[in-house]
Amino acid sequence: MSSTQLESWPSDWNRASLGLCALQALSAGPTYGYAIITALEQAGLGTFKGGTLYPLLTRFETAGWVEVEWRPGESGPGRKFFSLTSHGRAELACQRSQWLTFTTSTTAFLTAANHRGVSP
Amino acid sequence: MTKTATDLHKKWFDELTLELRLHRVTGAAIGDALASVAEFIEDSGQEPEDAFGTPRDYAARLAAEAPLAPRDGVRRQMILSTLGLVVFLIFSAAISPWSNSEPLLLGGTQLACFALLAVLVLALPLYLNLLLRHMWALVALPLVGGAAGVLAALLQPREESSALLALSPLPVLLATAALMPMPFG
Repeated sequence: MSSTQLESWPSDWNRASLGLCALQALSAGPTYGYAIITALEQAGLGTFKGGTLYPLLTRFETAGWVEVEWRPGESGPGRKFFSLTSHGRAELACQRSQWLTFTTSTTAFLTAANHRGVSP
Repeated sequence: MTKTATDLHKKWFDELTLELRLHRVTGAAIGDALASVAEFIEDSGQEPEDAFGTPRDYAARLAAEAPLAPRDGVRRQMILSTLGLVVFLIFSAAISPWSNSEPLLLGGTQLACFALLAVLVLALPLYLNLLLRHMWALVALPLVGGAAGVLAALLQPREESSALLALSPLPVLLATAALMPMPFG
């Protein structure tokens, strides 16, 4: 999956969706920090820094959503692989469903002709 | 021998280690964080500062998510050992008047020096992180404290008329002697 999206999204949007998208990036199997960032970038979600991703992955680890495994690298340091636990998979399914509902409502609101809460 | 990422950016990694330590991140989590940064900058070819920001900011963000170690009493030990030094200074100032059966004379400047030392000790928890982050502060503290101690000794009044306080040296000697065997160090 690749995209030619080069636009940078508002940072608030990235902040809101990064956690969910990082969990999704882990759903295909164990992967590591730079590969996650590359996957998000190729999906057109924007450019993320290691300094943003790793604290998030640490939060997932503390919450028991991911488990980690250090694997020896070909050269230099080893690689820290993250994989979803069953708890993490359940969390991803829940957050994904909520996100889809939320974005559907947001889209409906943005495209509706009349969205005043009360009649004037 | 090829240089590793940690060799090439030693200062950045050293600062990150110190900052994580100041946030009471566990040793295992610090090792993990350093190895993760090294892995990422090898993969991305970025500089640590570009990918992770300053060590201080990154440590704060990481520490907010990582398990922390229980307080290890380093602050308490530093305060107690500095307090021990002050007690020793007062003890040594009282020895000579006591052996000569003279009152312990204290002048205004001398009291100000003792007050400065007391403030340096009591305020230590407020600036301990500054001391550990900056070498100049770590050098300046003993210099200022030492200068106050030397000044206090030099400015000890010779005659009772020029002294602000004239104390009986024995109670001071006994009180400080009783405090000194306490586990200050």
